[in-house]
Amino acid sequence: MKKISLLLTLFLTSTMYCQDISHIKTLDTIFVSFRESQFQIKTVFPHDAKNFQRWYIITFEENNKMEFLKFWVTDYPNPARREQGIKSDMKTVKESYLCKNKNKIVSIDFFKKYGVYRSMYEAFEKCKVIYIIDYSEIKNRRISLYEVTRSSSLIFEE
Amino acid sequence: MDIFASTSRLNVKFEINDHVHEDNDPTKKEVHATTTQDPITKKITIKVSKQILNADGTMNQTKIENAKTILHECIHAYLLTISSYPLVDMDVAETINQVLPTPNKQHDFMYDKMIPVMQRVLAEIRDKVTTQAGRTNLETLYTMRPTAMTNPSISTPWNWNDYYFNLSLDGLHNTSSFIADHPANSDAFSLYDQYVKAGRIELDR
Repeated sequence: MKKISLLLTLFLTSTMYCQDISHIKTLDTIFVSFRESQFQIKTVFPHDAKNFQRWYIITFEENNKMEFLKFWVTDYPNPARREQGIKSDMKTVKESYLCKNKNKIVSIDFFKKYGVYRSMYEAFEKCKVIYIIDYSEIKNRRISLYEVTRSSSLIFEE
Repeated sequence: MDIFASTSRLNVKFEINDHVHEDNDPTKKEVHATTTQDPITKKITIKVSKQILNADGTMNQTKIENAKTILHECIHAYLLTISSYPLVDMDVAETINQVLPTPNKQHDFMYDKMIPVMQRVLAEIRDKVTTQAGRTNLETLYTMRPTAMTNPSISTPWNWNDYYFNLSLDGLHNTSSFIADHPANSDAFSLYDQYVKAGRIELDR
């Protein structure tokens, strides 16, 4: 069973993550693959934290400058959801779920390919829900997904 | 805001354009706003992008962010005005022409000298450009993390002066001082990001 799991993971890793932006920008749900490393940093705040619970930062070089996309896990993804009392979604899923949604998954390679501007503003243009796939949290062969909002190192000139 | 109080001439023309680009060159990056001066007539034009005013645009900003953008451009305009009309003060005009000849040099000046002024102006106008509900949400629903990257357990309550400080940095990110003070993934950049994001979420609610 472990071998099958490993093969599935390898298959997911090798085939799905550098998607074409013309496809990704049509999606209303996008999954972002996150694997902790020097360029993929997770920060988890203490349980008493209000609003900002944790964030995931994916850093890459673009035009000789370090850029990043940051995915925030907050109590509620936006004020409208807070008013409705619907908290940010957190769940665990089997690898088969990710296989089914493999065309909706992007990773650091996608962000490197398209750069911070296109990743931030074009890729998520129609997206209503973003999930981080946290591969550092796998329990009983189930992987943690967190609904997130995004920001980036991109600041417009004035 | 009484930035041009000392002169009675027409100082600045404001334009709202569908899109505004760096150096007013459509082949260059899109920006929030620009301030330019005609080299002959010395007339100054501030162009503001409609994209920051549209509620559904990718570049949309809150009202207080738009106020900050206009303040930022007015400081450019003020520096251009006093450097163009030496009658105001010959020494000041010469100094500004020598030291602040480009927008980027003016940004360095803003970062080093003008942030406290911008904080004061933003504090004065806050209640006119934000909602009471949004302000209450920030004060009650948010924990800020000043050392998020090095020590995530330290927390502080929302602080308005810190918000004005970090909001004033928007648009100054290419200055050497900002780059030195706010490397990617530093505590300082993280705190800037937290304040700007929280303000953007809440202050027009």
